[in-house]
Amino acid sequence: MDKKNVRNFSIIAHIDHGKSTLADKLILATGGLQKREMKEQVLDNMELERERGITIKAQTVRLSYKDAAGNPYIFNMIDTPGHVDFSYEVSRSLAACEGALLIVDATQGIQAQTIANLNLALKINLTIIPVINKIDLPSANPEAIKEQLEDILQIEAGGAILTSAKQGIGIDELLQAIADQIPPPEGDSEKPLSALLFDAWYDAYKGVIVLVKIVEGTMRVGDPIYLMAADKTYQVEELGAFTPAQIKLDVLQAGDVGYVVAGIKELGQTKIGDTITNAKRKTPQPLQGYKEVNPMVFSGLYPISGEQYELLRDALKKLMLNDASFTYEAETSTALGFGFRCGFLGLLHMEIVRERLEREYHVELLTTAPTVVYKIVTTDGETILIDNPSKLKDIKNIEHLEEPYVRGTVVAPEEYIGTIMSLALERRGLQTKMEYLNPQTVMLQYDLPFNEIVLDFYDRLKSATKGYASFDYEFLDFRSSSLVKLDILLNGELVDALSLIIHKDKAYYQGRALAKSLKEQIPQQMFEVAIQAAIGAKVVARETVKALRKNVLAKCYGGDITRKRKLLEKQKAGKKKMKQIGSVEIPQEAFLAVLRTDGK
Amino acid sequence: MNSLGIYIHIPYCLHKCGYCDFNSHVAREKEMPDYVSALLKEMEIASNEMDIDSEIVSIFLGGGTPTTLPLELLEKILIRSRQIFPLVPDCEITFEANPASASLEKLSGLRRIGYNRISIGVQSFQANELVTLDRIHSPDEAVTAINWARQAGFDNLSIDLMFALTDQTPETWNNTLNKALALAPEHLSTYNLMIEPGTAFYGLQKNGKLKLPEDEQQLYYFQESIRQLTQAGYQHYEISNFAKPGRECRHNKIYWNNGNTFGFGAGAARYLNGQRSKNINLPSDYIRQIMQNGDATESTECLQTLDAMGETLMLGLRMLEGVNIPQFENRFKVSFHSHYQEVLKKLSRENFIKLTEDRLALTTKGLYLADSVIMEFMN
Repeated sequence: MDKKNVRNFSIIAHIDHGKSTLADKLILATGGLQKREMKEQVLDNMELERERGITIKAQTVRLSYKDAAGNPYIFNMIDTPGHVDFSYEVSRSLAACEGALLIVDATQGIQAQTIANLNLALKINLTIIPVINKIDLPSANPEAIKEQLEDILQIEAGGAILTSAKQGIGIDELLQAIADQIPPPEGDSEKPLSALLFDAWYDAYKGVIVLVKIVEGTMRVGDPIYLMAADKTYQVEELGAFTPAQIKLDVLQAGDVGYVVAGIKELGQTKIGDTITNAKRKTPQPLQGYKEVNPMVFSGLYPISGEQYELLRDALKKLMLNDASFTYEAETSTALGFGFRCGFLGLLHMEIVRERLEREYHVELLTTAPTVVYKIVTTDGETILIDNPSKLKDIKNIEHLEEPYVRGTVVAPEEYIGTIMSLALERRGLQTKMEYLNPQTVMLQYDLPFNEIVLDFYDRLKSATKGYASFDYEFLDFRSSSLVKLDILLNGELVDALSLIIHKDKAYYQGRALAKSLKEQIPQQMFEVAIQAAIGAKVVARETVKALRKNVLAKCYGGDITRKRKLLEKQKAGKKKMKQIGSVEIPQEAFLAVLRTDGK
Repeated sequence: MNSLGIYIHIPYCLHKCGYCDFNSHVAREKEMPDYVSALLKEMEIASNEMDIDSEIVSIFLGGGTPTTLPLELLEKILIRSRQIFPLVPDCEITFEANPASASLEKLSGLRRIGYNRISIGVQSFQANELVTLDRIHSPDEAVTAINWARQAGFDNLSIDLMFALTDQTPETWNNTLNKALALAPEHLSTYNLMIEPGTAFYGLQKNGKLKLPEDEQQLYYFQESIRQLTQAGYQHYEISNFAKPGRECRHNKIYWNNGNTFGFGAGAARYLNGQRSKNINLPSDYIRQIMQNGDATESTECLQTLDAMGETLMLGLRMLEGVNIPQFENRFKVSFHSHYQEVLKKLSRENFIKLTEDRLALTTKGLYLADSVIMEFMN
């Protein structure tokens, strides 16, 4: 088909504004699937995604559309991950498009993620079609939303499409608008090949499958291709598209979106944002915007029973095939034994990986509190990144420490301004912007240390605003900061897995809160347990778990013996699940004690 | 010779107390003769299958309240036992009695038939505590029952007491202990009140209507029992049991030594040839099953060696003399010191256990935490 009839677009929205449902309806309306074949939200294909109602892995669908006048089109709908952890992936998916549908919930209006995602789309000059969804709801107020779009986002909203994805309202108008408003792709099929790699996943039968947008040139089955950032050469074995059913194609040319199978065995070789060119006729310039994604959040994953170490290692290796964005390396903790330090794009990503390890690989895990990466500048001018607070002790002649900052955007009803401001202040946030989206809704922006939000900021924000606030963030930079290492000692023994790096001004408070939280987590034992929080050699807090004084059953005669033995065996099994540090037994939950302090 | 004990369960009570989780049912006099017939049938079958070189060193009638049975039925049980089991000449023959169901006549009768040890459930000498405990006798009735037992000729008498009661104070516990000592029993059991699931007290406690003393206070009562009773010449020989020299309960020591016992009657447990089993609880079901099949076993458990080892220590460490190590090694064919090396080291270091070449026992500190210590040895 002539590329002037091709439309490449994404759907961007705040979570729960109806993106997946709308995508389903577009597929149905264009006949990509019969109704009976539709599983709800076909694009979210992992069990976990479906359960959490979020999109982790982008999927791309090619739809055939005939407009009212009978003109045929090919729509490539590129689904984007909906969470901030994956914002780089979002930006690359968007880069494969010429336009985007901006969905806004007709009852909720603009939210933090709406703004963040729109900014990504505008940065690369996508044509935006505003879509106001859920207009069937009684509290829908499309006119007010249009005003918001125009006033706040400076988007012409007069022609916004009003839809109810759930009820199937406005779907035809939307399809026509896509055909009319989104420009066709540019590019010259005769030029040297230059294709944007915007997604990849591992398939057990075919190896790695990559999704590409051909920006310039042509790709044919049998062509030798060269992945520029990965510096690897392969041969194209198969080309095609998903409708969502898989169809094979012989050729992809400028403007097309499709998949490539090229005998790639490792997902690590297919870097999101990389440029694929023809190995024999290379493009002189790779596409712009490629960057290495680095994990931002780190946590130690340890098998609860040491016997599962091998199992965990194999599971991580296999998981890596499906998810190249997390990293792992073996580490040893004096407290927890052998495990792995894993890096994630963000907290949600961490939770997804942890859940998949437990669910799909049946490894029982102990997770240490997540930490961000800190930058250490030594007196020699050397820069060292550390992903584990306990590594700080190995570094001499520290000149200063730096911590990562993010720009956080909060959108909330204006009555919560005070609450949000004090929460942000508590978290060392620096307000950079405050704007009214309408008389009732305000948007606040802060520069925040990532460390301050990584644990529970969003939960606290939600509860402080009765669930009304939305939050999103993007990384800014590393900034110099007065940081110290806070250690926990149990009966005088340092528990490395509980160490954390924290701002000097908060260390005393956090030390006290952590000791108190641990006191609640550690059960009474046969002897006293002293919990100390220390900064360097200085103890800043002490709590004591008193020794158990009495634990003895009064009677044990003939009829009691079996029951008594089983009771003790059951208690013993519970004890075995605890980690032994010195002579102190610590339940797994205690390693997340830092999450249970109220975090001021 | 293979020494065994016989436990006989009499599942009837005049009244079920709020804390009681034993297999007891309100007395139904019409059922009692059938119950005893079933009991005797079960005993006869067991005696036929018994090893030839066995001897019976104790018989213990527990309950429920054995004294709710009429004298002639209690007599029948003992007479039949003598006929079918090889009792040793000085066999300890105990029955439990409730002050409310004792009479001079019945106690004299029992002594005359050959019962030679009586265990009286007194629990407290404070009227208000007995009311809270849901007991149906008064302190005076308890004293009277004990006097009757002496008159009837019982020279081996035990009293049960309870501490950590809701309204108890150090003074009342002291008073109860003193009154018990004044009666000069040969044996005393002092039990820390335990709230067991399924009892009336359990429900009350859950609803906040029953509050027991704090652990620290409970420990004080326990320590007071030990202090006062040992001072009065009793030996503290098991966590909750005290005896004048030579008057330890022979029957219960069989349990704590993890020895073999028969168990007859509804809900009774037995331990024979490494196998623990238990009869069905409900007396009417028990009677029917014995009469139909000659067996009323509800559950059976065959212990693995490691479980049996744990159990042997769980029971043995309850006794202050502890566990005899050579016997243990002989029984389980293991080297005790190397098998438990780590645990022994850890517990000795913290002074919870006393370990000599041939005995392992709890220290005083270990005694208060007996269950925690024992758990360390469990599999």
